[in-house]
Amino acid sequence: MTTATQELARIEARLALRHPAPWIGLALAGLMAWDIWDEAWSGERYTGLVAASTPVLLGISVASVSAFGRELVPVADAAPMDRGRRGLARLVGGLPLVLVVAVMVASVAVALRVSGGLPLGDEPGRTLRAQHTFPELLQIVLLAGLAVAVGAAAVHVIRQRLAASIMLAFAWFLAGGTYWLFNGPVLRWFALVQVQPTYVDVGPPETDPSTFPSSWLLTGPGEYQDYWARLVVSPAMAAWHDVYLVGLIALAVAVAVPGRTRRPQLAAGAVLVAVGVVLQRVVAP
Amino acid sequence: MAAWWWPTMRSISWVPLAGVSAFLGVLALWLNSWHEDLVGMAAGAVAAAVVAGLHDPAAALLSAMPTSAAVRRARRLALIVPVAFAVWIATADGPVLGLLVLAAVGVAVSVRAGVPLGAAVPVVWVIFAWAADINWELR
Repeated sequence: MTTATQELARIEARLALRHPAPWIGLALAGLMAWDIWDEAWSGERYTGLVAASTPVLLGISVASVSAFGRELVPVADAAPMDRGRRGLARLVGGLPLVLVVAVMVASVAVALRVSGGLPLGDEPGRTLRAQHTFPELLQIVLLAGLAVAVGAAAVHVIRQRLAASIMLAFAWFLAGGTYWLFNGPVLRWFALVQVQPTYVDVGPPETDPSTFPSSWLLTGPGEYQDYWARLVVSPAMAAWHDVYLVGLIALAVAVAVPGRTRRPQLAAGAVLVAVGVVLQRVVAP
Repeated sequence: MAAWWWPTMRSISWVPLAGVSAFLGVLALWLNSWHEDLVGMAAGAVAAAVVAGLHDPAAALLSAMPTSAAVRRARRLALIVPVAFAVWIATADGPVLGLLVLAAVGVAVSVRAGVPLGAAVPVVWVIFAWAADINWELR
């Protein structure tokens, strides 16, 4: 990066950190995490903590729309830096927000390790010491990167900051607030926010659960499924989902930032998305 | 037809409402029933789109005209609100009063604090209600 690009990136980073949306999102995420602590259903804390990051992601996207929306001002066409370099600087300027999310995720992960972990499953297949795996934690950081890239791409395509922000708010809420819509056998490979564990049907409701291997985490028949299910957390599936997210980030950046690298980025993004989806299918429990 | 109708129609930014309507249309085709949280977010998005339709880039230029800002705003609302409610009923078919209140609060805030903040209010409220696990309509 040239000095001018670095300088613009520094300015954009300062503006991004001063934008109220990510901080409001962080407060709402904290409220959501606090609200799920009652554990109204088995595994609510484990799954809900991932979904609770949604308001932060939305806030980051709104901040990104605000930054890339400055490209819509006509005077920018006459600026000494070309659009590609300005776009690159704005993307780099969004990285401190990703760093904030990384710190948030690391803090929660450390706090959970110190406190012993989370409850998951029903008796007799229950643990009180469940921990999110590294690929699951990395997913939230990558989603923050995607929030920056998608905000940039949305305002580039829609050309209106307000319209882009409203549509992104709805889209992020769908992806995270109603994550269960995308938690089916096939849709979960394409979901933005992938929530684990996966439910694997292991027996009809009348099965004696003590006949299952003692190492299995189980959940009984109830409101959400009419069978005994084994709860499986698959780090491999989460890791390939992370690859899928990297592909989506590449695609969104290619849409938002013009330049010579656009076509290779589109190709690389499409390949990563395809590989991520196919290999999630292969390793899915 | 009133002389203001067509110029006002053309000056309104329909993109937010069109975008939200597309989202809601796809969801209506996909879902058999709408979860309460999703209805809340849909209401917030529609209300925000109504408020966003009040954005007038030429407001400063038109401030010297005999037609006041309040009248221009009322005319815009007279055109946007029926479309928004038609979309709402055709897709989510949620509580109309709840949507009306969200939109009214957003419009009121936009008059004092600007359209972006007015559009943010309904969205932030429904996300707050979701995060705090309370009914977005406060019932």
